[in-house]
Amino acid sequence: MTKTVAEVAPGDHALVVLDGDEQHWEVAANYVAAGLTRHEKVMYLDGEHTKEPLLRRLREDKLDVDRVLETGQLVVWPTEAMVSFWEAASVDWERTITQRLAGIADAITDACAEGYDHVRLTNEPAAGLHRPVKLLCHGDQLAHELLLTHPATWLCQYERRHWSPSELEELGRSHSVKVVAPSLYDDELLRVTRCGPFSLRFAGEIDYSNREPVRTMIERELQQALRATPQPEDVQIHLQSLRFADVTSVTQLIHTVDNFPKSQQLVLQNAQPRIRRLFDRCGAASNDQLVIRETPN
Amino acid sequence: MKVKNTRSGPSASFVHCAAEYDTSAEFLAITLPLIEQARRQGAPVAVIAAAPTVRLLREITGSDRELILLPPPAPELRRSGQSIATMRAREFRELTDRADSAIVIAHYDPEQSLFDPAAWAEAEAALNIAVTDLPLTIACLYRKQLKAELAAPIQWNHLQLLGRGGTVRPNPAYRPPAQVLASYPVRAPVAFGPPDSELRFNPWQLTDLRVLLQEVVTQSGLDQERAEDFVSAVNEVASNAVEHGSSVGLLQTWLRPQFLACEVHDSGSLGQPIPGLRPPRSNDPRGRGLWIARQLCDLLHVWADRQGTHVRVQVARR
Repeated sequence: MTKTVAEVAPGDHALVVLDGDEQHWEVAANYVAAGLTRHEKVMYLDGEHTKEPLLRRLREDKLDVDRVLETGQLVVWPTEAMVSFWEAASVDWERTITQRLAGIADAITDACAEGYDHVRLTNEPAAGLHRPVKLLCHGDQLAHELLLTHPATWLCQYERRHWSPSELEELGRSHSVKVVAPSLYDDELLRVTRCGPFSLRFAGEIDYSNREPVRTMIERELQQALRATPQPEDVQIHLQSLRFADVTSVTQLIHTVDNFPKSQQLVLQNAQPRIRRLFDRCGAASNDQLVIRETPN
Repeated sequence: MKVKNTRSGPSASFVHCAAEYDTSAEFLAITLPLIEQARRQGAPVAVIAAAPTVRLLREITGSDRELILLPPPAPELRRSGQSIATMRAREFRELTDRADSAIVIAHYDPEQSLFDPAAWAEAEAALNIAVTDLPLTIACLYRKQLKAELAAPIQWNHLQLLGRGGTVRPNPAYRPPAQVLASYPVRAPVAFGPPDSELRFNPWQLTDLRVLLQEVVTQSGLDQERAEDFVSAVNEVASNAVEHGSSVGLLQTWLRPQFLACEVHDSGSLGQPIPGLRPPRSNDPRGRGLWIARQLCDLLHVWADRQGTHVRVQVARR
């Protein structure tokens, strides 16, 4: 069964195959945030030193990361623990995987005792690279059985670059749900996703190498907005995860608005301070049809 | 750093004039009418001069507050005329933002000053590119009988000549900046020696360049805003190198106790002798990258030679 991150339901044992860093952080953060919002306990098994980008992305989404770490609602298992697990597993797989899942079962039980109804787990088996896929599938089978008896959801994150197509196919068969995270554009430097009608989100960086596709995308969005009935008042771009843009790209974005009819605005939401400064320096204030807005927490 | 981001167009009232004097009395006979004129117009008066000259002017005008003292450039700028011009242009824009016009009295003694004479010629020519849109009078005063090698840049770089009583007349010897800079080409800065790090990059590797820069600014201890500004400035220079140059550039970095510096080299040629001095017009879709980069650092020095185009970007560690 194929689902989006938002559609992942309690009890699902899901797999996602990731094509780039921005997609990785987007999927991980959306999965974690959904659990936190539902008052689930979230356990993030950090297999690839992705804690910092995950927390950064959660902060960009205005989540109170310090609070959820402090209360223990979000727990990050460090990469070193994952590496140790795989080292032990390479010596004695049966015993190590059994102990690991027993530990996770205990953690779920403890979370319920703390007052959580449900636990959300996610792991990145990158530390398991060069392990036979058969072992991973066996581990997945055991995880699947654990989810039948414990109130938990589990998302396994696999980066495509680490695995062959046949390995991914085999791993896919070991999970009941395949999570998809589509984008409008992803060149591994910038990822653009749709937040809603005429509303885009940029994550990553814009520079000389990708400013043309960005311009084309915004112009296409405007064209679609103008043809829509009823016509929206504005096209929105969410910039909280845009971490770098160069002067020419920002100037180009400002001048894209020159093609907008007077009835339309381009609304830029939640730009980070360095991006806001750049818009100021490039003369954004002189364009009435360009609105830079901060939404409250 | 606040950046005023556009220019309106050439100002009909831009005056960049030179005057020679022999004695203090002659100096005052030239400058006091300008100060009087500013008083009548309600225009600010700024002074670029050594302490004795400032004292003399303050005694005569009888006011400490009337004259705005513009400090000399930092030592590291003294060999980069274009960086001095960028600094002065920023100050002059602030002056003219507050009033309809402004007067700057600049008292130069190139023989006595710490300035490199070639850099000084470059700075004057660069000013004639950078601030011609401002409603500004820059009056430059020189002692008579300067060395022969200083005479030409003085004659060539001033649009007008200033006489006693504040009279201004066109300077027949004036040459446009490109001609001046053809005779006084921008020179390479003093070499720093082997760089701490190097990176060869193409248009698709600008992200790697930013990763390296981020590591260097983190080591440098610059505060977040200055660090981000420095990365932006070098990225603009590097983008220009791959867009207008040879599509492959070389980044070099130096972290020293007093400053952080980068150089970007490419094999392309320069279309204009000193790019990025003139602020863009508000409706210009392109051409503001290097101008903004100049505003984001302490020194940005562009030069060219047979190997190609080179840019040094430098910021103080404070």
